[in-house]
Amino acid sequence: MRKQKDKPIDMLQGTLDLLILRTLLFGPIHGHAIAKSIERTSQDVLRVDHGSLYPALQRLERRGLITAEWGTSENNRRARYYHLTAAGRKQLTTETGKWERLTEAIARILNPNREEA
Amino acid sequence: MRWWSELKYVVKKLNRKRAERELQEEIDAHLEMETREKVADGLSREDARYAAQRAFGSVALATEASRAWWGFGMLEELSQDLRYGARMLMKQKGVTLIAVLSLALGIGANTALFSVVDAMLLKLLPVKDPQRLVLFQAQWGKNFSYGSYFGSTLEDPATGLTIGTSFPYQSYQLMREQLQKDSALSDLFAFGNVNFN
Repeated sequence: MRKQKDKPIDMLQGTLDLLILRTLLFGPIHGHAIAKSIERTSQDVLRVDHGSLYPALQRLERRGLITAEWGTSENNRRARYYHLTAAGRKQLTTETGKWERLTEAIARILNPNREEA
Repeated sequence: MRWWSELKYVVKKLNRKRAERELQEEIDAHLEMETREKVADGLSREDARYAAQRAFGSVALATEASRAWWGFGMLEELSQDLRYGARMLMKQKGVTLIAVLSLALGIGANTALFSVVDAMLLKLLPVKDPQRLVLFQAQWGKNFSYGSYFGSTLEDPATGLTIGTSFPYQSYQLMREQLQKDSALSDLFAFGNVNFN
């Protein structure tokens, strides 16, 4: 049996958008590559249901944070490639800042002694 | 210009068939890529396909949730509500008839009443430059009497004179004659009560 600490963590609500934006910062990629990139860079700690990516991509596209274009994938298949827009870049900066403040605050609550030490 | 890009997105997705086809193609491509990756890891084609589907989760759910972003949102809900309302009204024709009739009577009565009030109280008199109209009052001393007088009177505390709102018809005639020589007024008219039987 897998040990508790090795179990992948389910995604928190709203974090998926932030991770997608961050992943697209390195250039346009398709949905499958986004899923793989999130899994790989989180060292398989985060579990993303690949299916949940697609509504999130529609949402981000609708909000003008990303745009999509059909292109050809590595293995010669038609795939939709997503780009970060200027608005998306700005959103990424704000959301990253918010996320950092939030995790700091939670860490302070969970480990109140760490700061004194 | 976020609303502009949102509008462009919604308009593009108005072609539902195309949007559906593109999403389907995108998801198919995703599953195929994942399958190939698993095959490369050493799984059989069948197992790889199954693993890809498991990693993806429900395709129906993903499609449904994606579709939710294509609509006009509130506007679409509103039209759904309106259609639902219309269906319900058609279902219960009696209630609808009574509701429509009472609305019609209520609105009709209000309109009739308002047009009377509007003509009598709200509208300015149909003359040129109504803001330049003046209203004459009569003033008379204690030892003067009209004989018979219709109208309201009021005592001016400063002078002790009585101020009245009405003039005898003869006064009106005299004032009209005076008007011919006086250029301060362009016209003069009088009004009074008329009793209908």
